[in-house]
Amino acid sequence: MDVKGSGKKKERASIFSQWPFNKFGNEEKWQQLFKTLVITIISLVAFLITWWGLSELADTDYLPDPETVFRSFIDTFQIRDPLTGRNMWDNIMASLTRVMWGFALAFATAVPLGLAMGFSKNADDFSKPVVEVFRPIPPIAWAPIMILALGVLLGPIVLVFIGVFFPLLSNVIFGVRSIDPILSDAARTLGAKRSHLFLKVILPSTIPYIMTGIRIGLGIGWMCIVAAEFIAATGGGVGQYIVFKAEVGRYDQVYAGLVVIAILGLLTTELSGYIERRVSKRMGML
Amino acid sequence: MKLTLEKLRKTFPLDEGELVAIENIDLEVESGEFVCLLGPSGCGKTTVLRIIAGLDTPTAGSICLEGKSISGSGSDRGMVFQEFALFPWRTVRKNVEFGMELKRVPKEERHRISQKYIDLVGLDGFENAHPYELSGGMKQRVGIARALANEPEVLLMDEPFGALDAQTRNLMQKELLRIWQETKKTVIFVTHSVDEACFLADRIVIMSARPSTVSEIYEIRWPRPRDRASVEFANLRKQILAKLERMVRIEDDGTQR
Amino acid sequence: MDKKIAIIAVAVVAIVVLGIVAITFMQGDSDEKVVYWVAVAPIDQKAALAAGTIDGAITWEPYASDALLSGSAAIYKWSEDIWEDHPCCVVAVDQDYLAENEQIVLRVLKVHQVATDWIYETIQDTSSDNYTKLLDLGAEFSQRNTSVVASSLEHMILTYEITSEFEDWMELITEKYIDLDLIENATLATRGYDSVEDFVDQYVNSSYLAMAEDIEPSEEILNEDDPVRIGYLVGDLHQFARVIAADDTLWGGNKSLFEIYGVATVTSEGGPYANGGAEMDAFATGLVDIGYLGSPPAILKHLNAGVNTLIVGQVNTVGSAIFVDPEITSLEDFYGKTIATPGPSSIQHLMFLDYFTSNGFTVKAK
Repeated sequence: MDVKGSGKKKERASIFSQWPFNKFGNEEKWQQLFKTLVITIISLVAFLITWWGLSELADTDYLPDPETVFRSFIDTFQIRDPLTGRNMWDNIMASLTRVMWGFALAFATAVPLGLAMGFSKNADDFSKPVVEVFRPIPPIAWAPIMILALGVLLGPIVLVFIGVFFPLLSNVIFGVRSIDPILSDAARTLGAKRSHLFLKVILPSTIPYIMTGIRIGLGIGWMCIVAAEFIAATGGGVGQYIVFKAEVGRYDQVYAGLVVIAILGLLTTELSGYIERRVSKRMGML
Repeated sequence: MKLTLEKLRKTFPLDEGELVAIENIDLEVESGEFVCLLGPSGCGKTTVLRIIAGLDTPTAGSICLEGKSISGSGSDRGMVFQEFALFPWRTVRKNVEFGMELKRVPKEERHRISQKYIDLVGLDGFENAHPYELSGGMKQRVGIARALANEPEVLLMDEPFGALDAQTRNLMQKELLRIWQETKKTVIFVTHSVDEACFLADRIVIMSARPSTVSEIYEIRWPRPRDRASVEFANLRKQILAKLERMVRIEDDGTQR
Repeated sequence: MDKKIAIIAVAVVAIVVLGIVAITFMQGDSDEKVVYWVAVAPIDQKAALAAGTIDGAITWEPYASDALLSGSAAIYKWSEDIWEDHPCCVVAVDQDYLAENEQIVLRVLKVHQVATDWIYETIQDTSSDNYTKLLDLGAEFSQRNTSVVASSLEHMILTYEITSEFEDWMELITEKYIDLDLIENATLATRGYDSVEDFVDQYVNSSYLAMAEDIEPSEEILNEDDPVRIGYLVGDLHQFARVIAADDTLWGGNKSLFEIYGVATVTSEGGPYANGGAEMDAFATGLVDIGYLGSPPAILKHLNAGVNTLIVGQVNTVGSAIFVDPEITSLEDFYGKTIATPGPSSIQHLMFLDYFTSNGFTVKAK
């Protein structure tokens, strides 16, 4: 019984003890970094050339060349749009505000629920049937009904909430369940009661998993907000910008909007990924 | 403090019937005594230790500490794990202070006691390191300091040096004896190394293979530090090894039948 | 250390939440003379007004009459009182299709002429059977009742002629778009036009209408295997002529007017469309051969996106309106109110912008 698990744990222990010794020497590390940088640049240049070539070949306004898009991209930040009176910063702030509201709601509900479901079998049995019914529904599928039912202000926020909620919940539950049982054993031999276990062992060791959930959830949140703004939005938004620009046929600006979404999505996931790694390291869990 | 195990029995349910892991274990451990539980792997010695720690419940029988029956885990029995079981998000000091935090010991007091045990296990200077920054031997020093800082009556050690290399292991054995002599704790030490048991124990309790029971008890009255190269050490080791070998063979025959 | 992380986490969350709250609630505008717009499809505007999410809407028929007759809205202004005799929908044709199928295009235009004239004659005598039939067809097409259709017919003028006034309007609309920066100045040159005047000269072509005058009915269907794909908008009564032309009970012999003139037709894929912008995209994708749509999207997407179309006929003039919450009766009542438009590429949107800015309002997107 007890022998079974120990082999696996031994392996983990050895990974732990190896950690501080970096795989590369300093010089090697820089060489590696330089190589990565060069390959990245080659990849991006190849992409731009392909784009350029395709737009020349296609010769349609539906696929403008990178230079046109880049110019429109710069302009959208400087020039207020004649239709809406907003520049791109206003639209970004509008989308970001919605994402943050939806995210805050999801965080405030998914983390406690996930902790409870991971920790208590009763809570799990109670919540699981409902959660499992709603989980497989793509968040975007809710868009039309949410906006009709909750309006253009609350609808998109609730959509982001749905998008962030489930990945966060899954990760929190998974985090609670992946706690090494030996840590609970150790805490118990040191006099820990159930409430102590929850606060001093389960909560801290779940934090890295919560961070992973946040990273995945924010990525999905961006997709949801753009979809929601496609259907209806007041107060601006990058999705709304794209819809209006498509309607008046300014496809260069539509692409500029796409670039903005790509950059924002990348920034969000990279930033939360960075925080996730920092926290994991700080918490000694890698 | 005197620890008594009485008619301890542990079974696990199977699809049909049950698996008897431990059968009728009786054992008395004197206050301040160093006892090694030794036996072939899978013989249930760790299960016995976990039952004493209150991490597992016995199917029948009782455990008494100074005549009082105990059940469940408690801070009167500290445990050291083969896998170290340190909290990776806590520094060395925070790991050592864990039990005291639960008992709401005031901060200065906590700090003073943790420093004492960190010094005792020879980790001064590493108070603010995280477990991932430590080697295996250092991690286990933290494990020992953490268990001791909680000031338990009995220290339970589950193959604590099993994950260490031979050299570190020998060093840690000597360190453990030093710490034991300084703190005068009762120690129950599980190992499958005959050499380790001979080097450390006041008494070696040999446990038979499943269903596990106390097969034989050796008392060793030699002074410490013990000389591994001495003739009597070699003789005792040979004797116990032969006994264990017989047990394994019997078990093998048994399974073939 | 646990505590430090917890404190930092709580602080970050608190700052983010406070920031969001601040941004959300501090956007109040002190500027009084502001009117907001929001894009709402005409079909949903009446419900949006009832729900209180908008205070009014600018829209085309039958939705203006529908809102009026429902009793929950008042007409603030009919479009003829904002822009007198303004044009609206047009017939546009894909230039590649025109080059290869000129005969078919002429026949469709002839049908358009006959049907438009037929409606004009029919509405002169509201007691005739044909008038009842017309109302029924309009009700079926627009999913509104016959009194809404009757009211719509009173407020729009169906016509096909391309007049010099129409061309002047096209120039005006194009110039307004350039003023609004929805079309960049350089775009005209990019598309090969010297000026706005030159653009309208080339983009609006009345010669096909003239040639269509002489077309006679045909026993034989000329494009049996390759029906012409016609695009139109959802429930838009401006495009009534196409509706009655497609009906096979009015013209005898169980034939539609298209069939009588020897043309096989089919509704274009993806149609009918929600607005002209969507129909222009369908043109661009090669799904539409001939389409009924608003002139502004036909201008916008031809210039901005290079959609290869040509305007070959008019469909109607006037026939739009601003309907409002009955409490709104004067310009002052619009302060801070939200008005729905069918979308930024519609003529209604342009009219809305023009009307309120020329009355000293600042127009903002909601």
